[in-house]
Amino acid sequence: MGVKRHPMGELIREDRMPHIFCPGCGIGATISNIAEALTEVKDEIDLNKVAVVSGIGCSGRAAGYFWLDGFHTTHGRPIAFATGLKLSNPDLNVIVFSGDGDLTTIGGNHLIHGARRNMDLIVICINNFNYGMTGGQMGATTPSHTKTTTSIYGNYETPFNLPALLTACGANYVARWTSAHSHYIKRSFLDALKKEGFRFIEVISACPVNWGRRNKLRTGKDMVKFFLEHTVIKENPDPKDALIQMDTPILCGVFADRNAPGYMRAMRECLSSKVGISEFRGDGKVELPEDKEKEKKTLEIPKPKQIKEVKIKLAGLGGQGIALLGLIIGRAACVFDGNEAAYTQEYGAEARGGASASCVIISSEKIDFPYVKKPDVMVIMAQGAFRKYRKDIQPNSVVFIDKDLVKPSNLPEGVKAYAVPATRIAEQVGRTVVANIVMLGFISALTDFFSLEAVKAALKMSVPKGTEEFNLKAFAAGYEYGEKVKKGEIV
Amino acid sequence: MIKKRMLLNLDKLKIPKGKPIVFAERCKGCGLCIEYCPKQVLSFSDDYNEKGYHYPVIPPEKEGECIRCGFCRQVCPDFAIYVEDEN
Repeated sequence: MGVKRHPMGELIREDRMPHIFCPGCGIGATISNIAEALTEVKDEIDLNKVAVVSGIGCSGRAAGYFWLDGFHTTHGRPIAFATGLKLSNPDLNVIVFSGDGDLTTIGGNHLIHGARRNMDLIVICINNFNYGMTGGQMGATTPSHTKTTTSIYGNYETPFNLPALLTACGANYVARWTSAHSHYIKRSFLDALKKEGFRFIEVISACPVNWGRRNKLRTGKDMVKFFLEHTVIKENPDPKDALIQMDTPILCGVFADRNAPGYMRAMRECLSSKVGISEFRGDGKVELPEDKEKEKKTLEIPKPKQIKEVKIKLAGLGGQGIALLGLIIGRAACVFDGNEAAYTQEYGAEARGGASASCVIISSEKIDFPYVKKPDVMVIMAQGAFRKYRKDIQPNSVVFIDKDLVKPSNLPEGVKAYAVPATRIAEQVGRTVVANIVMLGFISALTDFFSLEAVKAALKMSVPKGTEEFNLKAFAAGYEYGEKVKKGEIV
Repeated sequence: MIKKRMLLNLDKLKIPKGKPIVFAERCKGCGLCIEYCPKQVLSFSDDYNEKGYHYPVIPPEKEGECIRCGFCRQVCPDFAIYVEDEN
């Protein structure tokens, strides 16, 4: 006769037993109930497609005790990780198994927004009324007038009413049980498994060593007895009454059971008609609509023109289109000329008016470092930006400026400055906003970092639909001015 | 004579029999299985496991009284006990 195995040995990592939980802890019992539920449905669902995500804390250890794909994530972020997991592989049944400190305090916003989105997750929240792993401190779920290490005279705060919070946020399924209600947890989990959207099961868990010890419930037995005596299970309970108080019984039951569309279904319904993709996955198994070949044609790359590494820094005020200018240059060099390009931006908190800059590096070789410290080419489109970025102008570099807006002074030695009245030309073309495009035309006339066709194609790709003609007109005006400067007609 | 209400197939029903199997080295001595055994089959052992806890045992006089309800497995937080089918 071989070694005896626990009936849940298929799902529980017996090699890691005994687990770290204290004697009488409710987390072990809850893991056991979930495992039992999963064993019951193992013929209906593929256990290879079930993943357990947990955060930090005692219950964070749970992911490591399941023989399932697991993910032990950073503190407070299991729902964020699980959301990514579900989005990239919608076939998975993602279970978030974490504690109250992890889910409701440090990760409170993830919880709220997960429920608001109705993200397709099952969240099992082990609520043990305190921060157990760190020594029993008071948390957001500690009931009023109970003692913890940091509330030795009794907690005078009001705890979260989690069922009410989650119901208000729009979760599809909200239930609360205690760790003594093993059968209910199992049934509730099986119900949740059949549904979609955000399913939240709060398990009030025995913590005899940290919370119970300070509240006259010294052993696991005492706590289970307390849970059985001090709970009421109601059908269709009102979440408003679910606040945990020590003098009134704890309300348990299923607080919300809705069938609102989950996130994945809502996304599919909304986007499939618009984009033509019926299934959204992150693992590259998506079938794109028939448009694919058309795009390929545009993306056929001509022979790359060999150029040395050029670092371009573009500076101006927010709203002048500095970022777009950099983007077009980068796209022209990278997408349409077949070279390498790296593009970074820097800007303040202001949407309009603050000095901002973008940096583009163009090279035939691979680019190792994306940031520009010593630019070879500076483009400056406003005096404020000139003040801020003058220190970056290197000796013997090339500077393009807006003739009317920038009055350069104290330029380093050997700097070659080209000026164009970009804003004035743009005004003549029709609208001031295209000053950056005029500048682009000017730059492409005077430099050979990218081909004319490439920059025109990149321009068409980057500007809003319907304004291509107008932008090309502005580009042509800038280009013309640049040609004149090149020939020496204008200084 | 009033007939006592009884199941018609009572004589055909068998009381299930089981045998609790304890993984002594996993037990942490919380005593939940002993508390919630409806037949009070289990009791604490005299000796310790390697962590220093008393684990549940079936005393010789209670041998064969287990009815395989599985409560002990359900309440055990440590995966240290389950019931084997004896029938």
